[in-house]
Amino acid sequence: MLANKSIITVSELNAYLKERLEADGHLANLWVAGEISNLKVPSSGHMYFTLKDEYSSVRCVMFRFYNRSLSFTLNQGMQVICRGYVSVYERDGQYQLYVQEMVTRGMGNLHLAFEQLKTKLQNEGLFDPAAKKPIPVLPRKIGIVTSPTGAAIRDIITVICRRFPNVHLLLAPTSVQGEAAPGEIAGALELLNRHGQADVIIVGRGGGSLEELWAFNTETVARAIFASRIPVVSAVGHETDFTIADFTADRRAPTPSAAAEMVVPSKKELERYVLTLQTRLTKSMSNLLASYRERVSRLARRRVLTGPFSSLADQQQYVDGLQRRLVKSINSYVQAKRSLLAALAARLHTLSPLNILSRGYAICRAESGREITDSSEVILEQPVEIILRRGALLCQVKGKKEELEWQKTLDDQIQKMN
Amino acid sequence: MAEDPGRSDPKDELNFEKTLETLETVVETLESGKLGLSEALAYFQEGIRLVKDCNRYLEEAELRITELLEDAAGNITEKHFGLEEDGG
Repeated sequence: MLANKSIITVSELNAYLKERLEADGHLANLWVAGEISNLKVPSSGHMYFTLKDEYSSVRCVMFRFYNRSLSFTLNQGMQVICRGYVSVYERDGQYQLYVQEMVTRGMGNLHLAFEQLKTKLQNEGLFDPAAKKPIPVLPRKIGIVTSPTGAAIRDIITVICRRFPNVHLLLAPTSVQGEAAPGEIAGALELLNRHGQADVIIVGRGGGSLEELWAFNTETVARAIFASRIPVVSAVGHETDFTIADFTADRRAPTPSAAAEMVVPSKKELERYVLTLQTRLTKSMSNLLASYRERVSRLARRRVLTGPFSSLADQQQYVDGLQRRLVKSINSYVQAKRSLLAALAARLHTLSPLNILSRGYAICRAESGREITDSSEVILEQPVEIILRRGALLCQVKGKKEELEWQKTLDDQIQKMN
Repeated sequence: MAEDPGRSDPKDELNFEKTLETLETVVETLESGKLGLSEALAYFQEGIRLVKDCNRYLEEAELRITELLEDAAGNITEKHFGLEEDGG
């Protein structure tokens, strides 16, 4: 832009400078350390100040949008570290550091140390989700690593009392801030592991500043947590921020109270659950019994079982029927036989000599007993016996006749039929 | 699988978790409808016994708090712990 023109305007100059500065990657995101001076905070809420060191200074602005989230109050003379970009305020031709984030010097060191440790331990695998142990659903003994006089232990006891009092708390007391704290916390964790009876451990403290919580960001505590064979729940009172202990622990709770809730079940819920199981138990048993009863009553309703007498009567009736049929057939048999007998008797009767004899016929017999049927069979004077229907006559032949007329006719007829 | 459905060992000072799990198993088995009548009755009785055990455990309300102490020799003991009513 400037190349072609020999005379430029001030605006053009400032605009050019702005563009050049913003194009420089080095100036896009810097951390600058210095001391605050000339701090001005007008009603707009934007912060204007100068950051200086021994030899020089730079003008800074931190807009309200960014300075809103400052965790401390900015004061004259404070040693700070600012993160931001460099650009030009065109109107004044003033280059500035546009600050987006700020920490106090001591803070800055802590933050740096935190980030470095976090990276280091992460690379070593201390935060690995696969390494995390599950916490028991129903612990009988709960280890607690915290101050014996702080708010944390009180809160934990309160919550557990309310929620599920039937547990045993094992307190391994320790300080939770100060120089000795990391060592003591690690020692307490190790003591609980050696004692070996806790099913789960809560380690933590109530809320505080980053410096007060600092023990829970140390390598000592992190390694002690990781080394614990007993599952560890970290409970460093801070809703949003995570400490190194939080990353290393098997579970993280935002506060000691929350940790206590996590670690014990609700007695009421368990009672309700057991009641549910009991109901299911009795219900399925009574259903089973009902279905068996139904089967039994269905079988009982069958004729075989409801009237043993009626069945017997049926049988008797059947037998009676058979008997009747038998009698009937015997009777008809006898009847038939009787008829036959009568017929035969009748025939016999007609054929019977007595019948013949009673019709006036007689049997003529010779002395030898031989029946005489032809007159040629006797001679005159021969004694013959004449058997009548009743009695007999002793006769002598006085005369004979040859075949009579009607006898001859009968013989002829018979011969013709044969 | 018609044996006695798991009695918990009295030595275990009533392992509630195991008792509860056993109860769940008993209930599920009974609900499956695969048991004959006398078997079902046995399971039912065992289930009721387990329910009683669970309820008895839940009724206990004793919260015990002890402090772990270690002496120079490395012996670990427990001492009763009472909350101090200070402002700290």
